[in-house]
Amino acid sequence: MGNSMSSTAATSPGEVNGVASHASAVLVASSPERLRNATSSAVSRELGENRIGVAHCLATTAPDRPSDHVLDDWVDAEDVFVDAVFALDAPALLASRARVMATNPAAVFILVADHVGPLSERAVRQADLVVVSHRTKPAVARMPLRAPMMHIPGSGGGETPTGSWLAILSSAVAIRARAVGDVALHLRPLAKQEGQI
Amino acid sequence: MTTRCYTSFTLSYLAKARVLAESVHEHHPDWEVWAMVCEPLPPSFDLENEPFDAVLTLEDLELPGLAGWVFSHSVVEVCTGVKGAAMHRLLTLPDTEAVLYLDPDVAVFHPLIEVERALERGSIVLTPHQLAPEIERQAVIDNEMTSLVHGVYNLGFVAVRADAQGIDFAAWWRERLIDFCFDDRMSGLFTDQRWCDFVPVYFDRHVILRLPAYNVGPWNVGQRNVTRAADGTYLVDGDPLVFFHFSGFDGSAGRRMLNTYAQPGSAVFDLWAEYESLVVANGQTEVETLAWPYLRFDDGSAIDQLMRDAYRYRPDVRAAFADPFCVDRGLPSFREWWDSEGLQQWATR
Repeated sequence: MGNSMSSTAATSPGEVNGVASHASAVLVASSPERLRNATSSAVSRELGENRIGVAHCLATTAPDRPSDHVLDDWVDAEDVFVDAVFALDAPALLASRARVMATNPAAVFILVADHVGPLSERAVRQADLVVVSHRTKPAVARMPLRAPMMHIPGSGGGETPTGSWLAILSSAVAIRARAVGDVALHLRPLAKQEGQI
Repeated sequence: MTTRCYTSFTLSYLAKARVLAESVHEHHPDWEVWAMVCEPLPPSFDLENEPFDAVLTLEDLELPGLAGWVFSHSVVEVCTGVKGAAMHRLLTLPDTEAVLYLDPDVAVFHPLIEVERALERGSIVLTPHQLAPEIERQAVIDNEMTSLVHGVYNLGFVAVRADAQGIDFAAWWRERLIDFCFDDRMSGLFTDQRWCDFVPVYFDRHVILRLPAYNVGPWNVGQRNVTRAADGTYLVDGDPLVFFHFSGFDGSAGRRMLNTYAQPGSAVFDLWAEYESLVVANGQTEVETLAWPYLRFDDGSAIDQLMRDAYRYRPDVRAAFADPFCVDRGLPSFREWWDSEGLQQWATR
């Protein structure tokens, strides 16, 4: 996976549904199998068609240390300014968030909750938006202090109506901007300690 | 079409909210009463055994960055800060005719007939703290000047019709409260209440209900004569008491105001004592000591106001820690940042 940006940045400025067309999105998953499925998924295809660069990477949680999140095979943070993270499971969101934030504190995080596990509750609190399926919606809805939900049929990497993922990204951008203020204007560099804030 | 009434509270106010819900049902059996509960519902909470028709939780309101938003606010700021979003949500349900908000420490004693009439000619109904100028200097300070600081209208009550202007009001109130629902009087803010001083300017279909029997409270008992009829019902200036706001019931503030401003021998003291019994009968002793869970980090350590302020006023910190409650040694956390550098930065800014 490494530095495998699957699409290049747009050559002309502009916006698609409020999302800057030079945005870079990254799909993260904690298992190679889930990541493989995502590579050909609707989200990857749709974002690419809208000139949003899409990378894929594995973000895992060490099985023997569930609180110790590590990133494997991460795109080089210096090369990729990540605007949006589509996390295909909870461990991947938790593992990637601090790393991405160190480069871009305004990045948006979307959790695609295709299943619910032990780390889901924490991940839905760290996400800006949670995409739920018919199956996961009831469990996610019961979680305290969760991010707003969007219900997308077949959102686990399966077929999704064209336009849905871009709409999700636009919503997440708006939510994040609302939650943290005008980050582009007010943010100052964050102190980094060993790659973390 | 349905009239919906809601109240916003944490579980330590559950007994009072039960008293309110039962009193609303008694006088308006066709109205729905919704509980806006600002903390996770415990397994012991069973709607079947409660006097509420439905429950809203923080998660239902789709507030942006919810964990961070809650962390930025005190318990009072959260309970008042969600009122706009809950109002908007209920107003936009397809069969809603009107929505009333009542504080959990309100009790209804008579049908709100004049509110229903007001909603036939307007979209937003408010009740002022004061209906007439005070005369005594101390009363000017205690009541009029306090209203200038906290807001002219008491937002323990507001009624809104589900028409275009009512929904516009709710959308505006929701937006302001998400961003600026703070008890920050030096900045001209007092939770949800001060914002509604703008209502008569921004929304022409408003009605200011100038009726002494509506929203009687410690700040106006000096101007309203509370008596009892032969059948035991309470009267205000000779008319049936419609609803009383037992503000300051916990602690001594409410009773101190009664002692200062109510007429000696006023029936308001009986009313206060009866309310106290009702609240106790509805479980006050069991719930009054329940602590709001968002006073603490995930690991149980306490969150102080300095931390909340730093998170509230620093967008970079909010951006870095979406869930500041989370304390996890494997992940960067707000608490870790606070201990290592945040306190120093914020205290010496």
